[in-house]
Amino acid sequence: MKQVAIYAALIMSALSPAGAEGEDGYSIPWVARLEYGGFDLLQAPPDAPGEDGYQWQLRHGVTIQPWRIILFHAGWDYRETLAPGFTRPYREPFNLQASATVEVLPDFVYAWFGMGWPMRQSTIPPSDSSAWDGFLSEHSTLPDAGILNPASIQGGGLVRFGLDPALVLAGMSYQLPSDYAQFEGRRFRPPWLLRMKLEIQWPWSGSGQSVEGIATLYGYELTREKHEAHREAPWLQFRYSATGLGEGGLWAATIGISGKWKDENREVLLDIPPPTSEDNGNLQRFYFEAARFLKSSPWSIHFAVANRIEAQWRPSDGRVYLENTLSFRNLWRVFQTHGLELHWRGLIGETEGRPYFGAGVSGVFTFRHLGQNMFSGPSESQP
Amino acid sequence: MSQNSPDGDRSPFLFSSYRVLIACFLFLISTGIRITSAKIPTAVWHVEFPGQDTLFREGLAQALSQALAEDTTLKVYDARRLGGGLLDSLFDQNPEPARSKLASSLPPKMELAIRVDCRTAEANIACGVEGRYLLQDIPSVRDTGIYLADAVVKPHLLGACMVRRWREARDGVKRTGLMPGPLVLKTPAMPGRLLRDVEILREGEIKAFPPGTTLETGDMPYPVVASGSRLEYVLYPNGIYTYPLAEVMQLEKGSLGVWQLRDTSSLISKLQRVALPDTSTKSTKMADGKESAVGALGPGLQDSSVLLTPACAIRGRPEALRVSHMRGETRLELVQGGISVLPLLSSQPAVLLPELNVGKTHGYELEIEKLGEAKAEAVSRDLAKWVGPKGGLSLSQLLPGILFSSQNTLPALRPEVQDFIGGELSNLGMRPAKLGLDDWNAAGSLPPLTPGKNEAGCYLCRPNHVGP
Repeated sequence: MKQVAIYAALIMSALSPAGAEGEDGYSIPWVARLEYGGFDLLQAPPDAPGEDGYQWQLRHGVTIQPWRIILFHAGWDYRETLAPGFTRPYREPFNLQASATVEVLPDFVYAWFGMGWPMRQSTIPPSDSSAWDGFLSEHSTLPDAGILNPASIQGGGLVRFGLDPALVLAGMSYQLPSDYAQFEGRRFRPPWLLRMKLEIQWPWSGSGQSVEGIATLYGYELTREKHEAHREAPWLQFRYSATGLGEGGLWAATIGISGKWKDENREVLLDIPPPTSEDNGNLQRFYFEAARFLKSSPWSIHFAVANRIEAQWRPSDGRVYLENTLSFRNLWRVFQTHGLELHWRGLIGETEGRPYFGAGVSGVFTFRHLGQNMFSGPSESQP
Repeated sequence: MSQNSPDGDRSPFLFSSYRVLIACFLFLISTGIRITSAKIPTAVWHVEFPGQDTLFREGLAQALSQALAEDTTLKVYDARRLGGGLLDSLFDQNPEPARSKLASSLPPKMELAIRVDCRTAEANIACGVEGRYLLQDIPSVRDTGIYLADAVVKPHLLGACMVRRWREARDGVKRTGLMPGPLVLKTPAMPGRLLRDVEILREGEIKAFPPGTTLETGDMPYPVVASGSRLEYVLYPNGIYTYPLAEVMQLEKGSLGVWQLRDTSSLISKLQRVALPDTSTKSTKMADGKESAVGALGPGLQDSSVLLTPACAIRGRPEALRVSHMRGETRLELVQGGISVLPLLSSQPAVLLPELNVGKTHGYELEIEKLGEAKAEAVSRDLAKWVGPKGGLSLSQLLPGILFSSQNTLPALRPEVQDFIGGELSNLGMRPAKLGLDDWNAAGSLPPLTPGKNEAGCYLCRPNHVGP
């Protein structure tokens, strides 16, 4: 902690010269985001080890822009997950996050750095290992499967350039190997991952088009003794989105596909049966989402409805999951700049002729301090 | 902040990650500080404006300062108060004495001086804005624009326009992204004048109507049709039309096509004489002198044509219709024919307005009332005897308000960049909010679609196999 305090003092002293900007009537823009929500799996899929499950989370974050070219973000989350088959909930009461983004070359090159640091996580008993592995390794119906957040650090870079009329964003991020000790007696070291993403946006006939491609590569997952235990296969994703303005408001549609090769087998296994098939056990996915944003009413309420159809297929056993997720969102703009959003979500799925379903709701409040009065010029007159 | 494993040994990851964390953080911060070197002390040093008194020049200097202050790379000072008589000599042939005196005597070291020099150019004003860097060997940035003579009554807007032009010249950045394209005029508007706030972009023959501009149609012999992606708009002679910016769509929570039809003045005679022989329209000046537009559209109007008021879009084949727009409300008195009305700010679909009815809307719900026979006769008589007095409003009174000024946006990192990086950081469980206003229904950025659960790349967040 002493080291952290010293480094924090160094950073603050480095910031202080430009931090004095505020003395001349400028104020630093910042935005705070609070999200509270949960999802209840009312009926688990037939192959799930338990009957149901739930997940709820509290997210808090602040983003600040002390200079025009630098953004800082800090946040903490509380998350609790009872996956199907768990004997007790898994909790992350204080998951800290921080990031910094820098515009290195104006409007052209950006770099960022982020870290996640879960503190005081609960542990997972060996008796839940099968459900744990099933939740993470197999099909999951909970919307946020990220119940595991090992301490991790990420750095990345982005190049943005225009090929009139298209806009190209090409970026790469690298996440360092981490360490995970919350599984009782089964400590291991998750691998590094390298993610490359290319996104092209272009207008066409009054609408906006976007195509994205993402490739993810993984290193070796290591045992506690740093033996190579397992390696995830490369993962490719493609997505095409279109949005436009119709007579009734904004519409949007997305179609995507996700494919993953066969993993390399592990050397050490959990207390569960080893894979019995030599085929690819990774889920392959295809989804289509359509959304409609309706115009504001006199009370500044926006309304959005989105529906996603998703098919997942696992080659090793041929199992197919079909899911339909219907989302409703109400969005208010509060005092012109702040935002309030309510998000309802309903899931209906089917596999091998048997249904499963769940529902969730979340609320997001976004408080914005713009730093300047957008409606009458700078917030304070100049000296 | 330490993580101890159940079996007691201390994680080597923590120690190494601390070092990486600090190194990366310091690198980013030092990079940012080196690049920005904080804000550039800036001042408006000199304003020259023929035919205007000192008070006006001081007001314009203040407006320029306000506009410059919206550039977060600049720190703007009232240098005339600080520098006194030294300032005007700064732009002399030999500015070094003044420069050194200023650099040593002023509490803040000024680095950027702005000089404005205006002159009359025919019926308009030509203003040059020069930014001179005092302490660094950087070439001056100079830009000259043509502005409306009426702009002197709006020095704040004039200053904002000058600064916007100068910043564009300085940055040399071309606007990209998903901006709506310009509307194409099937027949060029001639004569016409294309404006951006008080700045004159083009005069004479106008073929395209870009977003963010105002088109002033002159005494054309006939109306022209502007084609968009879905609708066609009829632009009448002697009218003033504003194609809002994408930013306005965000700010106004409205949608594409919130046009302003403010002054139809003498279009009526042209319509009857040349283009739409069955059309009768007229403009009147209301008793209170406020803006108004009154017109009647006849069967010559094609089905694909749309009449736009600030509150609604009107389509159909009216035979006797009076349209007026006052205090933000559009009033449609339909005596004969049928029209459909689409309030521009409402989510409801277009509403059919039967004849002998009155429709009223502020852009939201359309209120429909019966039009009494006596009133209908009065409207018919009014249409039959129309005369076309001028509206009596000067152009400066019709200029778009401050919400239509593009510089009134938060100078944050670009939304698409924030989206991109936020998506990558979601691998760490982050959900950073974007700086800037919500773009819930803006055309300029993609909506926040959920791309699917497996979008995150962290395999621990959504793996297929995990754990030893």
